[in-house]
Amino acid sequence: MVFSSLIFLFQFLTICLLLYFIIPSIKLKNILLLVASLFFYAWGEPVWVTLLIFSALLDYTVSNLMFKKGSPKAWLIISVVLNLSLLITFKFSGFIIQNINALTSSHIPDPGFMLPIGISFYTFQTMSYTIDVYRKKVPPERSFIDFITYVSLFPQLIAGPIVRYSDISKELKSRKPDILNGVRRFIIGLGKKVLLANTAGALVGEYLGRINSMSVLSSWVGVFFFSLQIYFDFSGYSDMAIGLGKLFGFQFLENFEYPYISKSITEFWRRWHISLSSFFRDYLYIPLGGNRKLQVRNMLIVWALTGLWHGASWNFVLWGLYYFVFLVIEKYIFQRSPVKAPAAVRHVYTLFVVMVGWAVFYFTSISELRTALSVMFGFSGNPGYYASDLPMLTSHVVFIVAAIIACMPFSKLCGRIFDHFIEKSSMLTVLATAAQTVFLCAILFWSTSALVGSTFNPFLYFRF
Amino acid sequence: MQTQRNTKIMKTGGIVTAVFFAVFLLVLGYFSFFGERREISEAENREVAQMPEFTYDTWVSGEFSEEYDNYVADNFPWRDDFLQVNADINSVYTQVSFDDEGVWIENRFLYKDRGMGLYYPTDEDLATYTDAINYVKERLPDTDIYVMLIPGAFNFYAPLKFQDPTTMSDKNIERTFDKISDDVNKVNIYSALEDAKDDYIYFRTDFHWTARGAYCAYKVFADMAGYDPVSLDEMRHAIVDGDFPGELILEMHEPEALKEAPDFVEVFFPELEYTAMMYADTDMVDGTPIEIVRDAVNWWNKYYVFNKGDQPLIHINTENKNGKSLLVIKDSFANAMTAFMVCDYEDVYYMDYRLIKADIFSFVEEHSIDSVLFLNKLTLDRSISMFIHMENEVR
Repeated sequence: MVFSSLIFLFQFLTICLLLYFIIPSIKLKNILLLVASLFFYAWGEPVWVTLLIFSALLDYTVSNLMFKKGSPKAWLIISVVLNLSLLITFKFSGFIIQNINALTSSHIPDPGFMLPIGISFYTFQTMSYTIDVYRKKVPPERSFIDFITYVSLFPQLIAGPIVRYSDISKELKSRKPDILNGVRRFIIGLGKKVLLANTAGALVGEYLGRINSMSVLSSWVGVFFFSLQIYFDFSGYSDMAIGLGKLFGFQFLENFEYPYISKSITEFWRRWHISLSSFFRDYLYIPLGGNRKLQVRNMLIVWALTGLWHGASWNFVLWGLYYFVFLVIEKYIFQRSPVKAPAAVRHVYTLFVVMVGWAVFYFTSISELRTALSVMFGFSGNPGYYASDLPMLTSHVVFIVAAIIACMPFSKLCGRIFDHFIEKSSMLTVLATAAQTVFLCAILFWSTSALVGSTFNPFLYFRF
Repeated sequence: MQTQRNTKIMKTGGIVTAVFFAVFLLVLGYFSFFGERREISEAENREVAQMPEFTYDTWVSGEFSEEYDNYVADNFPWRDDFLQVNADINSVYTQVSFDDEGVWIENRFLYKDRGMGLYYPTDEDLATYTDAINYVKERLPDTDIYVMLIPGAFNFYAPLKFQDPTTMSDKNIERTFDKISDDVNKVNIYSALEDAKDDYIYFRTDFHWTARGAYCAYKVFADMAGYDPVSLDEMRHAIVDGDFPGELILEMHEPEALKEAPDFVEVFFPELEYTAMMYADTDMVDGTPIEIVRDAVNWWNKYYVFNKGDQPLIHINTENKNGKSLLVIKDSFANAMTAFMVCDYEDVYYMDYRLIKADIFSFVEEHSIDSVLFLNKLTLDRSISMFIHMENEVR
């Protein structure tokens, strides 16, 4: 099930919230969340829910036996190896076999596993928990119900953020919902996903689907739309997750902090998918030696794996290494340079690097990627622009303006202006509050219309 | 004091939003479970998805959840109103038109009183389609293989400023033909249609072409196949009773310009004896007689006068005892061409690749077919490749 669907919003979530607020005790609330989460997962993946349960059972057992029997390190290795094996088997086995076949001209059959939803997220979560227990940062969770509730918690199960046990362990025992902020955050996330990401997505298909014959200008417009799509899709989903978390009383950490306003790639990665970068930092980069020894090697490993985590294909590895190169350049050249480029130049540089990066991310086949880059950089012989490029672009101007505004910390700016005046006038506060309320209600209503609209399916050959 | 009051005001705003959220979810949630169910959607002109049957198999395969999603969506309370709201908002949000020179609605283009389809393939569609056609030629080296790609009306009638060179049908037909083996006969109908564009060759409220449009294309095919095309003057001609408010009206959310100016349908009858039977599969048992063209149809969609709409398989046997046989692998555009096609062959087979499972290679052999025509929209539907490679599955 996905958040941006009618069945989730109006059936699953409605019933879930209703029961949640009726049920009195935290224990029962946790059981409800667990049942709801397993149902949520099994709705699309009835078989693979067993993997999720297995992963939870594994780390629950390992963490509870760690300091009771045998060597803690051995238990840790068992957990890491088994979790990574799950991930490798289900996410990477096809990719590995294809590469072995290509290299050795052998014909090992691809087992053809389907990628179970959310496996990249929950294996990382359970692993991080066991490592934290090993490092004695958190005590092992005694209640299996609470532990599996944490692992399977539906707000963050499918697309993150990667929530660490240490961040919510206290809330599993006692918590208070933050309904007002939760609702607000959820609606904003829903709007980002349904009204911005989906619209951008339709345009991406229009543009990048025929990159071969595109003009240079349109190829960049296509990549621009993809940059919008991936940001709104992912950050919208994170916003919904954070909002739902608040509704149930959990405080998940922020996952995106307006990445497109960054002025360097280093800054971009501090603002983009924060829970993933901090996972790699804490559980891989620092254990490898971090800044202290062999920093470049450590960065290389981390970025190759960050790329691979995004998908079982070489273009993702390339995408990770592409960032490695820019991060190293920034670290060893830019940051040591006594002269700094003006902010606008640094901003344009960052957006340029990020957009080219998204092209690498989008085209999963290397030959398509080569074509795309040759079109984008004018090596393909395609014209710079077509006369029709402009009317095509201007017909989406409302969307583009809305999307650009939504990429910027506009609401924060409004908040600051608002705070400035708030001391002086109740009238202004009433007006601003009313505007915000109407805006949020309208977003919810419009998103619902768009969700219904996405199922508009007139049939040509009916009633004959 | 002031700050406290303002915090209170803001909190009230938050409460109003939360209450709206709760009521919105509860009301729509309640009616999505217990609301009225309908069988037919007038606005979308189709049957509404019904509650799927829950079994272990349908659950494990994911079929149940998929069908249940459709069921909830189709029976969503006030569905038609939400659809209309969405269409209205979208017309501002994503399809801004700064003048009266036309507007995109649901990927169709509206210009004055004409709705238009624009068909073009993605790079991947094109590669998949051309590979499939080349494969057919490899497997059937002694059969004449023809490919005819049908453009939508857009490139003929939309204002120039909207014409994107990458979606231009003539360019895309050329691009596609370049990737198809020279042993295949490439029937390029673009210029024939362009020359005739001032005639009534495309409907204005429907994405299909008219019988006259189909005739233009048929003439190019006949020239290429090496016979004299039948002349329209030699055929009996009729206008179908009643207006034809085409599919685009529905798909484009009923624009007034189209609603007020429906189409009419003109038909031509072949002047020869023939029998036509339709079949559900390639075993061709238990056929039903069918009229390939009629001058009346008791339904608003008058395009059904041709072949009674899309059929999995139609076999037409004519009085031309010349031994010539043709298999047409087709979509709905081919229907308007049947009346012309039958004039030159002894046997014509119309196979709709979307509605039938077939091993076309055995079929060609069994029925001694000497020509195969792929007659497809220029979207180059990728599923045609699956259809062609279905031989093992069918066996």
